[in-house]
Amino acid sequence: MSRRLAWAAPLAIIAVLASGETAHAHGFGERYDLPVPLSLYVGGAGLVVALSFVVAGLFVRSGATAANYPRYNLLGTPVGRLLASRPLREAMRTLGVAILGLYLVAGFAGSDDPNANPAPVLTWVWFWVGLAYASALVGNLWALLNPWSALFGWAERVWRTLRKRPLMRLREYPDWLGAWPSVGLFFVFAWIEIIDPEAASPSRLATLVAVYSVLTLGGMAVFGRHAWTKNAEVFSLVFGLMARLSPTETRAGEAVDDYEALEAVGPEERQWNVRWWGTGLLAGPMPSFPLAALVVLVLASVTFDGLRETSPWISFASAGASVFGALGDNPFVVAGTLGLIATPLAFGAAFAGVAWLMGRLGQGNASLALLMRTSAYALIPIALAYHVAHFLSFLLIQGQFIIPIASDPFGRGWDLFGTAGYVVDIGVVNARFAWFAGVAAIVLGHVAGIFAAHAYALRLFASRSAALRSQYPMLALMVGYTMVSLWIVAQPITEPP
Amino acid sequence: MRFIPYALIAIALVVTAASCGGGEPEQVAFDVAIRGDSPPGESTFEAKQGDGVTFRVSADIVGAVHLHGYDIENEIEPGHVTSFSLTADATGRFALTFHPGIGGHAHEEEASPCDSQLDGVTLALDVEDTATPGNKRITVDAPGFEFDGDNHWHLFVDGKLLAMLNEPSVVVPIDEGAQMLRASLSGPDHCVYGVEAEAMLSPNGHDGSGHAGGNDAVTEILLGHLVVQPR
Repeated sequence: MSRRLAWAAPLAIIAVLASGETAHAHGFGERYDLPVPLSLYVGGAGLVVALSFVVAGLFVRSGATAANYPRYNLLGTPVGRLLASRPLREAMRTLGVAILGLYLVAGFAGSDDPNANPAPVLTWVWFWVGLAYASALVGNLWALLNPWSALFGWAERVWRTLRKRPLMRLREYPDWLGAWPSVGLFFVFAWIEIIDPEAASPSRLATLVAVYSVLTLGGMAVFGRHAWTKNAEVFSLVFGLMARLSPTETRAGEAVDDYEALEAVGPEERQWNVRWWGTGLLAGPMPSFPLAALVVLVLASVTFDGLRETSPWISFASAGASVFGALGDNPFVVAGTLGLIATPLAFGAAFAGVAWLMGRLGQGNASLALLMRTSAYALIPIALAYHVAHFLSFLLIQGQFIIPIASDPFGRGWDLFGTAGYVVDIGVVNARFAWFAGVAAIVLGHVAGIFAAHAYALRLFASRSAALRSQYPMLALMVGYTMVSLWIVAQPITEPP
Repeated sequence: MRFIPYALIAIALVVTAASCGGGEPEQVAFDVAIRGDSPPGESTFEAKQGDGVTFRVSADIVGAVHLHGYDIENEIEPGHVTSFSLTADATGRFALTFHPGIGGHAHEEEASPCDSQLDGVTLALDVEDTATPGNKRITVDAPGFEFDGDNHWHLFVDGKLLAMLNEPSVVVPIDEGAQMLRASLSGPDHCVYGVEAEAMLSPNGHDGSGHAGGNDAVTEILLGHLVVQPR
């Protein structure tokens, strides 16, 4: 007995010495999700089909378009005025800039360990998952936190004070370019998130954010802050899309969540409204064609993120390894890149085909592009619903890494808040809760999507019967997208070898 | 909005259907064998929330097993069964991985000579390649010396202690740039008998220079997953 212990003690010491080494091997963002069980998958799928008919039936009877949905102006209340007051808005902007500064310093000078540096957890958990959910559940927080917008806004004010005239943009933002830069930038962002094996490297993330900062501030300097934010600052567009589901909006006249219009009008014309979740899908004009393309890209890329962890995908990528290997060093990176290109193209092609059928069945004279633009916003709740099903446990478990990191953001052995020794609680989300939340989100997102698509069709087509007829293919497509989402969450997660 | 009651009933039915199960927590145990000269298969270790789970790991290669999520790490002593237990409170799917080697930073401590002496014991050291690149089978031969937990041997790579071993033949991961192996016989409390053997490593196409950070590249071998279903 005592001999055994004597033997074990030095081994334990070596284990402690060695554990520092092994920490590098666990890249950031491990997921522990269990697949949704068959009964729930089948139940959710049945519910999707049944509710599709119910929602369609509702429209046959009532035909509500709800374009003028109920809302209540918070600026009419003292609390609302306080929350929207200038000092608080400036505090939010300062917070955004401070986080950006801390991020860059920590990314370049802090720990190399992704689990000990704030950059990876801030980017992949709190920004891409947490802020997306907050945008949909609360409102467009990114419009307030956006550090580049804040920095450039401050620069404009300093310029105006010093030079006694406003800072003029150098060029007019070209109309033909529209939101296409955001489509390209989102593809790059999705590639880094989903495919890039080095996505968790703090110094690499800091480099990417520094490059993006230069691009964004430069774009604002050339084309103006608002033109760049509305078209090419990809996160403003993506979080803006999510915020269409949120219960808050800003309004200046008819312009909803248009911050240029909001800044242009006097305080008495500004509104900050509460509304029902999801009603914002019906607000304002239909999206431009590139913005509709961005919606499809967001939906397809989050879906592909789940798809590439299923065993059919791994089998496919392994089977084609010799082909993919010829195109690059890592066959899984090559296969993933091709998949990330092919999935949005396939989703877009299906969407275009359905839009064409819609036009035929609705007997209107709308162009294919117009038909696609009309229905695109209806895909937002489906994209967000899958995002929730895919990432909820990840947010609640991996998000906890911010607690120990906050106490020692630069890896200097500090303990600022006494939380440096915090150990992530993996039991915080029960699998059953995650399953029901995920399937409920997918079903609700589907219902919101078909509801919105019907409302859009009623605006576009001459008669109600034509509008309802046009929605059969769209209904089928949405059931299809939703079934793909459900199928993926019912698959066990499989890692590439 | 007349469909809402029906939707709620439907959701309730689904919830009921999926909530079947339950039962009392049990004790479950899994045996895991790791062989250094062949890649392991991937296993699924099934448990239910609240179960007591025991892993019994045996290996013929130096390293550590790591249960992700629960973040339990245990050194593996070749030739012995290493057991560790946990209560499966958290649901999910957790990777069980093996990290070959025990890191390169463990230097030899001041070792004292053993009280007793080994008379006439000689030590031979033999190194062979294995099917897995980087892993080498290392065999010592010490006629008359019995490995019994007190009497064992230490393996050094370029002067650094890599492992303390109780089996005459093990598979260990050796860095590309490593040049010299040394084996030394030890007794109770890691005293040294002063019986040693050395072996040069073949350059293996690499001259060993300019190889930076070799110890940081810890490989991870997936052994399987502990799957804890909700009860």
